[in-house]
Amino acid sequence: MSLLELENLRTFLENNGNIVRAVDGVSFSVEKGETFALLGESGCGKSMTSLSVMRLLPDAGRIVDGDIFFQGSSLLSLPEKGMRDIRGKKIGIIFQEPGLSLNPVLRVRDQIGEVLDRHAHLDREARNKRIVELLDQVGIPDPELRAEDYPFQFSGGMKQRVMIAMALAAEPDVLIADEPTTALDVTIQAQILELLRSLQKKLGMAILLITHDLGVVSEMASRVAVMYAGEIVETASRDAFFARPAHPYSRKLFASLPGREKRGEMLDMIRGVVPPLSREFSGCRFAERCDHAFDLCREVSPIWHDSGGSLVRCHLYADGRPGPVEERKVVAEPVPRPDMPGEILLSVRDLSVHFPIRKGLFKRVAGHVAAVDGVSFSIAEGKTLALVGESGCGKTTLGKAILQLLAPTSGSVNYDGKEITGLGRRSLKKARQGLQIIFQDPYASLNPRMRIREIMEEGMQGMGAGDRNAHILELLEEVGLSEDAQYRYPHEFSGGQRQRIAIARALAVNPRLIVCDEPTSALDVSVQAQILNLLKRLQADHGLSFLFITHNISVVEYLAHEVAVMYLGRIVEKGRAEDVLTAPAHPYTQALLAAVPSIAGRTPRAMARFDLPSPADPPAGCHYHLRCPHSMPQCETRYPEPTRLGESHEVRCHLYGNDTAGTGD
Amino acid sequence: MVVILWTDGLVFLLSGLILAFAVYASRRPHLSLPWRRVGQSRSGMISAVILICFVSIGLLDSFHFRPQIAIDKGKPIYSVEVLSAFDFLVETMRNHTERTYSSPFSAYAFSRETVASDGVQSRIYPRLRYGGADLADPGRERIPDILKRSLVAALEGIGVWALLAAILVFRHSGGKSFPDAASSIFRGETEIPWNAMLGTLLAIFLIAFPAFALSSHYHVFGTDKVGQDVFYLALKSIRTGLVIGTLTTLVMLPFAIFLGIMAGYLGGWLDDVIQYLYTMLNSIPAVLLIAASVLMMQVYIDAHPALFETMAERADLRLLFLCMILGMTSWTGLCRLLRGEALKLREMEYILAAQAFGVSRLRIVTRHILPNVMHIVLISVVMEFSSLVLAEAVLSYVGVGVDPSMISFGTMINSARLEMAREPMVWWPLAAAFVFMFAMVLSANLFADAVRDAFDPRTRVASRRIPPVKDEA
Ligand SMILES: Nc1ncnc2c1ncn2[C@@H]1O[C@H](COP(=O)(O)OP(=O)(O)O)[C@@H](O)[C@H]1O
Ligand code: SF4
Ligand code: SF4
Ligand SMILES: [Mg+2]
Repeated sequence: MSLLELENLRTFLENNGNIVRAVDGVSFSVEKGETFALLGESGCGKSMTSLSVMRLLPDAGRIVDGDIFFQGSSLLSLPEKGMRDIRGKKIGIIFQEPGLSLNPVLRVRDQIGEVLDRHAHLDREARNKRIVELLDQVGIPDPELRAEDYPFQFSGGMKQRVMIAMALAAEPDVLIADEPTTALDVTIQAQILELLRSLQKKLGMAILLITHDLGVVSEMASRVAVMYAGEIVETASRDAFFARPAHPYSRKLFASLPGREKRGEMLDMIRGVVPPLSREFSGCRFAERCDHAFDLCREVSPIWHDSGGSLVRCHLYADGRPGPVEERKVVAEPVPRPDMPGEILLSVRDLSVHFPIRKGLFKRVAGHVAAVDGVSFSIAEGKTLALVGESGCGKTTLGKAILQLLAPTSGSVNYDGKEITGLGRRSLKKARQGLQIIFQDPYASLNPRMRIREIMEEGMQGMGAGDRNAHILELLEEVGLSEDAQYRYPHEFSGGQRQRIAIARALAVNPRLIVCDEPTSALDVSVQAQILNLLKRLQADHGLSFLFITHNISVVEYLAHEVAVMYLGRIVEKGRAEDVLTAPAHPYTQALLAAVPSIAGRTPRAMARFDLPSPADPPAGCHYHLRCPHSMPQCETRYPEPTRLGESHEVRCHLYGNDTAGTGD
Repeated sequence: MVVILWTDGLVFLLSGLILAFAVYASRRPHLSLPWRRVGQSRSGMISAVILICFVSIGLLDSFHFRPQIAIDKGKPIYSVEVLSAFDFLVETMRNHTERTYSSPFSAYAFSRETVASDGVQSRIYPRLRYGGADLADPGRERIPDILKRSLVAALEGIGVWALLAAILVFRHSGGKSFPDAASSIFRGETEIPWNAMLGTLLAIFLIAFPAFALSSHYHVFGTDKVGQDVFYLALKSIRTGLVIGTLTTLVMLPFAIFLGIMAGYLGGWLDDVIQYLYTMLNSIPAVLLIAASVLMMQVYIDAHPALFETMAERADLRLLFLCMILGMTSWTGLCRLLRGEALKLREMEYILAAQAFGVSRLRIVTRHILPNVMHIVLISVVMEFSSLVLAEAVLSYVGVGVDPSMISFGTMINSARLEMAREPMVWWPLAAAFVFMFAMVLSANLFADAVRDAFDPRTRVASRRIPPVKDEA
């Protein structure tokens, strides 16, 4: 008897009169003490599966068929009251957005207490002891004091720890973790994953882990199920899955991951987008996007086949056949890499942006947040500089300050030989011509009330009508959108398509440098591959330079020529991508690289401790010293000066100064 | 002679703007989509039908003219009385004035009068001049007469309704046979809840037709102190309420939008000044401000009687002025909302992207910010409507509302103050004002809710329309 078992579960949602088949015949089982990973891109029905298990569907949703068994008894036949005893006590859940899952007006103590009161009957003292114990268990420092705090006094990672403490309060047998780390930085993600692993070992609970990240699956799971368009298409043990993914969709997911080995080639990508689930399907749901599809695929929905190692729903494995033959692999197109050092296009010297903190009735300036604090770097023509760092360290502010969308406090930005800080509106407009920006959230970066054509025309004010028309068509073609896209509104496009539109808009003024602010972090891997390929091609064709802001190290490995690592407003290490990524010198860079979950599996790692401190009140001396495993006395008093390690490799850490004979790691 | 009063002009302007917007929006999916959602809302469409009836009366009542009474040496002489198309339509009701109070459907006056007949003085309830005047023995014939007239009128109403319903079905048949189309409409299978709307219309017709038919022989809601038909007064009050509810927002919108967006988008000292301004305005009790301004206005009007040719013009100017004053005191709420929204939008990435292109500030405001706050403006305008109608009633009751000669819910309630104290009580003017105002405000509120649900994505609730089948395969 499995601990948790789903049998042919079908959950439908109603959306604007359409029926969305979010979960359409899903079966799997979770055994005691294991981590079962449900892997899939956004919108494929993972969250609806987990909410169905908890019977916490939104109003518009309803389970129409199938059953869910917990320790052999059906959850769907329980009355709501019985279900309330299951929730929390037997099955706990944590969600993606720690900020949204805690009640902002209740102290942490009371929120955890609520769960305890419901499921365990403790007297006051035992209750308080248990709360502190739980907070301690999830690694919250000073648990006694912090229990009195409100959620807003915690950082994102700490909130997620509190959520875990709440979910664990009644010691459930199964913990459902729905993208528990997606909203967190890699360093924090590594901490949370480590925490989940150790708690699981200690408490012996099963985890149903829902994620879209292959790296996370590889590090955590014992078994994997791949979900696509409301169905499970492959289940396998972790080892079998990572040794040889069987379903064509799973294979494509691996192939579209960026990484160091793929530098210089185009990424393999899945064409098209996930089909809307409001559609009726006949045949294999992946058929439209599958390179191996044949006639049968479009007519008959495949049943489960054994591929030797995993169970797959794909006709290619019928009757013991070997599966897709990979000779149709897309030939990697070599991308010309402009490797000779070009002219310096943009150079930033000692740039600072300080935001005033206002307090009190009269909004007096009570202090400053040094969001960007004396940053210098330069970008050559046709090159990509990747700027990496945790969220909140000032990357986006730096990007905006370069474009003068924010007035820098001091320092200089020199673009194409001209200083552009402190210019008036009119002269700035001219000087900024060649500088453009692409944002992270494709849903926030296009005005929903304007047609694509009007959006693109914004940058073409100086052009005649005829030229505009031709230029718009040219740009749409360039980013791979059809001609009639121009008459439609943004809401008619998917995230990836919107990002293409944003790129086309930026290209409208023939820029020479584009600041890309996490352009792919809101997208699924398969769509990310499409966008990265596009950016790479544009660079090759037009000699564009990119300032690529990201926290995704594998994207950096794939794309960047140079890397700058930012920590609390300052660049702590920079240099050529090969140098920084293969021989990271700064302890922070080392921790950042080690935190990236890798599909090669779990590796012992140097983890960054604690959270990012507040930029409003950075620690004295080296900002990193509280988290740094190599911290020395001088680190607490003096910010280290830059030290050259190689021709272009520079680091700011006392380990490498002249005054210490450090060796790094 | 056609007379266009100030408020008439503005009402026409507003109607024109709404029409123009409807045409404009119908071609733009993102503008028409939320309206289609309003169209799908049952309560929204029911209340819309009622509102449309009110608005039609109000509009009819806004075509003013002065009838010609004589021709003097080839030059026409016009009456000093300004009438409206609506007055013309209900002429009998308007002209059937009694001497004083009479209760609804009564054939006799409400109070005894001393009459002399054949030299003998007696105190009796005299017969009314118009109410039930053609009955020989009201005691016996009145009820059957009322029932008969109502029934005939109700049948007429059903006839007209059936005709309208048939036209609707015909227009919707589109390929289907007539009975099929009819059954799909009546079983509520259409996107727009036509069946609910037709039901409402039938209910309205069943009330309105008999009421209207009876109004030429009886006083449906009785008469007031000076013998005017209360039903007529209540109908006339509709326009006043509508004008206050709509023109006030028309006055207030430019302030709220302009200042709110300026404060939010430009920020800096301008933001401080605007915030200061509305915080200050908010801390002065509105009634105080309104009373002071209205009294000042009244003094001005009284001092310059020559400016106005007719009473109606005087009253109209005061109405317009009241709208402006109410507008001045009520823009702050919307302004604060818009400031907040503009502050949020300013950080939106599409606006940053526009700035990166060097798009001018004016263009950013008109092309990026304004269209994206319009839903807030709309929601608050419809929500504000009913509170303004109520505000008028309260202000007129206190005596700082519309001109006493202007018929409005407020003036009706004001005079009811004394009537309720009489013994026996005269309750019908207040009841009439209450019924009409309640119907108008309730349907406006329900409609506003439907609009808010349709435009505000956060409050949208999904209907449960998933088939409860276990397996549909
Ligand atoms: N409240 C809702 N109302 C209507 N449709 C929804 C709602 N929530 C999710 N959906 C739809 O259900 C499908 C599955 O969503 P979800 O389970 O959240 O996917 P995932 O977790 O894999 O990203 C998607 O098509 C999504 O648009
Ligand atoms: S069944 Fe056909 S379309 Fe589906 S994954 Fe297999 S080969 Fe591709
Ligand atoms: S300067 Fe000191 S604290 Fe900072 S990173 Fe180097 S060793 Fe660590
Ligand atoms: Mg999800």
